[in-house]
Amino acid sequence: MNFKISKAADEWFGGKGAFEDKGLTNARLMDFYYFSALVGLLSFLKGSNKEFKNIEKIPDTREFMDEWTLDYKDNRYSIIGLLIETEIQRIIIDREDKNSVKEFFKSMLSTDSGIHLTTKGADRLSSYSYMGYLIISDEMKKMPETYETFLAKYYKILSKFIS
Amino acid sequence: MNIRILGWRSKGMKCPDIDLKFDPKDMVDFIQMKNGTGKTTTLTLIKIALTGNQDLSLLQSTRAIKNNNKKALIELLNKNNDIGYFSLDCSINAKLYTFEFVIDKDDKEVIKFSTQSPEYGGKGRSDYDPPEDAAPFLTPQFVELFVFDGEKAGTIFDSVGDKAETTINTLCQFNILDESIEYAENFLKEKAQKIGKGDKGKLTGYNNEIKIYTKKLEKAKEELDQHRRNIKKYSGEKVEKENRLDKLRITGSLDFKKEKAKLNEQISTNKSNMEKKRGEIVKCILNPTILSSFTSKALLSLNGSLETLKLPDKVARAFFDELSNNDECICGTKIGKKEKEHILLNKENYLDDDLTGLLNSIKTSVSEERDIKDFNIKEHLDSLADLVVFASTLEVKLVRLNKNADKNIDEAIELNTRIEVLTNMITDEEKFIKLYTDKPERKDYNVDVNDDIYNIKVLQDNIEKITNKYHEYNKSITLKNSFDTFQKIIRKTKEESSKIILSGMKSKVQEKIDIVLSDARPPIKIDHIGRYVKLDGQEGLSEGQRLSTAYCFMAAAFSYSDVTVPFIVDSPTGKIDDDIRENVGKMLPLVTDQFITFITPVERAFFYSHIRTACNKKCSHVTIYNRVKKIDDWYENFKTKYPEYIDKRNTINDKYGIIYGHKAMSTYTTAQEAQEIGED
Repeated sequence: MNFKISKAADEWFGGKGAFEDKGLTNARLMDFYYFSALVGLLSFLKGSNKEFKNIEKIPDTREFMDEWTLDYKDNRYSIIGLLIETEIQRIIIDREDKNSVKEFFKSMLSTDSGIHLTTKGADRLSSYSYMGYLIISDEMKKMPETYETFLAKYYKILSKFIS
Repeated sequence: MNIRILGWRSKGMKCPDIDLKFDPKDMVDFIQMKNGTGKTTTLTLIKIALTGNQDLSLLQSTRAIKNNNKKALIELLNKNNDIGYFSLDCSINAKLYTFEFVIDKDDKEVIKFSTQSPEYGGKGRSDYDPPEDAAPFLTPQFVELFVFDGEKAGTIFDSVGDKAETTINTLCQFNILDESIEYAENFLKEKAQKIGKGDKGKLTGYNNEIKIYTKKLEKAKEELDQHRRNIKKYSGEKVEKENRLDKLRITGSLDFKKEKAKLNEQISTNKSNMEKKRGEIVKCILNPTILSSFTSKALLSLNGSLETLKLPDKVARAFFDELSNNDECICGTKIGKKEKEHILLNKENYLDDDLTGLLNSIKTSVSEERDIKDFNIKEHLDSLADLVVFASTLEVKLVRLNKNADKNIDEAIELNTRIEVLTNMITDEEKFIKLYTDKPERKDYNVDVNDDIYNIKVLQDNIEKITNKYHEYNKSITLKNSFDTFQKIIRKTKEESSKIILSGMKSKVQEKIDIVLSDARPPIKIDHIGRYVKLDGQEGLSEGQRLSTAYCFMAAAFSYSDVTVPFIVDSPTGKIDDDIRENVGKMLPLVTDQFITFITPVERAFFYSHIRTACNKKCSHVTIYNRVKKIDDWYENFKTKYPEYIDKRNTINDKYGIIYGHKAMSTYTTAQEAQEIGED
């Protein structure tokens, strides 16, 4: 079970050498992957992206990480929680049907994997990340040259979905 | 595979006539020679003998002459000699081989190789003939890895080159994989020609088009390299000019110095504040619970659902397994076959222990943060924006300060003008590079074979497209598809193996750096190893630190191959700082079993004694010099003062002195004296 990033997102985020100082390291790629996933998840929860209903696969991907990196160790459970909540809403699971909810958990969560997600769970998160990347790249047009500018522009996008 | 140099003999070459023998028990063999005594020639001769290759350009020799190898070979001869001879004794897997060659300027072939070995039954071979299993390690590319100029070891950090990648490819013999692709490609061409189902004229047309694109691709790659080299050259000059300007400013005014130090401190503090603030923002984004009330509510909704459903269950699946194995239930009811089946069927409705734990962790992470209402990411972003503005203000102040300081100094004005020109030149070169390397768009493919095409990807794709057309028309497309699959597998194999090796190598190099450069502040950390070795904060490293790191890289690289070779290094410490020489001296004997080094008297300081200690004094020493009065006097004094240290092998002829032993090496004339007598 691995996080997957699309070739397009990989190139777009790495295109400017990911702010030059360290290049696009795996840890930094993980940040971009998560930043995109968050936008993808929130845009769905906010109801702005109904196309997600049909998203199953993302084009031309590569696996790049099989565990949560150090920066995510404290927050991985709430990130997984957000994915679970979004998926419950996306596939419309009956919240009152205990067995359906349990089956859903079994299909998404796994303790055998370093990322605590089954292949299906990891693929869902990667799909949200891809959708988030599409939103980010569309809004920003080109990858900013500094991390500071990226964060400012990123928050502008994010605030549309969290306000 | 173990290769060791046992000695060499040289006669009539542009280096001293010598018969050197190394003791196989020694770990380090010192050869002390001042510049101009024939060090470079000796290294070239060793490379020719080891590889059986006479092309000096291929051997990366500084003695190479463009388009005139014959002349270059003749110039290896002493100017008074028409014939010269060199032979190198090696032990290859404990078997003796002697590689010899004669350079005869009147002979049509100029150079003739031969090989002697007891393995050949007492008869020599009249050509270069190493044992088959050693041949892959005696190619010019491989020999280049262990016979080199110490000062050039730093090229592994050169971002324009690909020295690190080439080293790894050569050591891991990845060239065999590349060769297999080349072999398969030739096989494909040959077979396709035999199949030859299409009209010859049309096929020739395709072939010509492929040839034109291939030529353009080669040209584009060469030009790209040239642009990269230009950037390196201009950047080097720019740094040099900036440093000079800085020096001028500092010596020019004390006030300026103080003001600049103050500004630099502000810049540095601001930079670290920005990093801190960036960290705080990322921390907020990373935690959906504190990011916003919206994300927090979404998570609480999940928790609410779990609580309503009383999930996770208080009982996990394992409980039912255990219960089904008992004869009696906790309520006292007997558990028979039927009851057991029912219990086991029921267990499927429960989550296992691990999943229960995971679900609890998700629940807890949300409820723990429930009371946090610190959604202050916006404030952090505002502060960051202020810091960015402040950073620009400080930069402007610095530029103004520098400009004011330069106003009255002519040289500074000149330097500023040149720096500006260089900056523009670098920008132009970067634009050129983009032409070759940018990701092409669809419109970029609307080209004709006769157009000027620079983009490397477009050229590669067009070659592939026309090659496929050729094979389709020729009815050999199945064969071509098989070749593509083969090529893909080989490339993937190389890529995956490289990944594993590079990651392992990175930790190995880092381990060595941590020992050798333990005093470096900030500590030297490898960012990544790819085409070249990239270090964190590479610009701040001294020459010495770079060179030491290069040796660490070589040591780690060799530890990945199954071959043990001698390191034959000219000027091993080069410009290394005195304190680091000590550490390098201690580390070098660990690099390989035999370290043959050409050193100058200047390099002895802080190095020689440490390397001797590190190898438990298992070393040999020979000092070679051009005879001049002052050094003759030194030797006469030496003989009087240390008669017990006179070695029987010492030779003094008309031109050279060859003196053996540690005592002679350590007391030999200093560089300063050498300068006085005009040698260096």
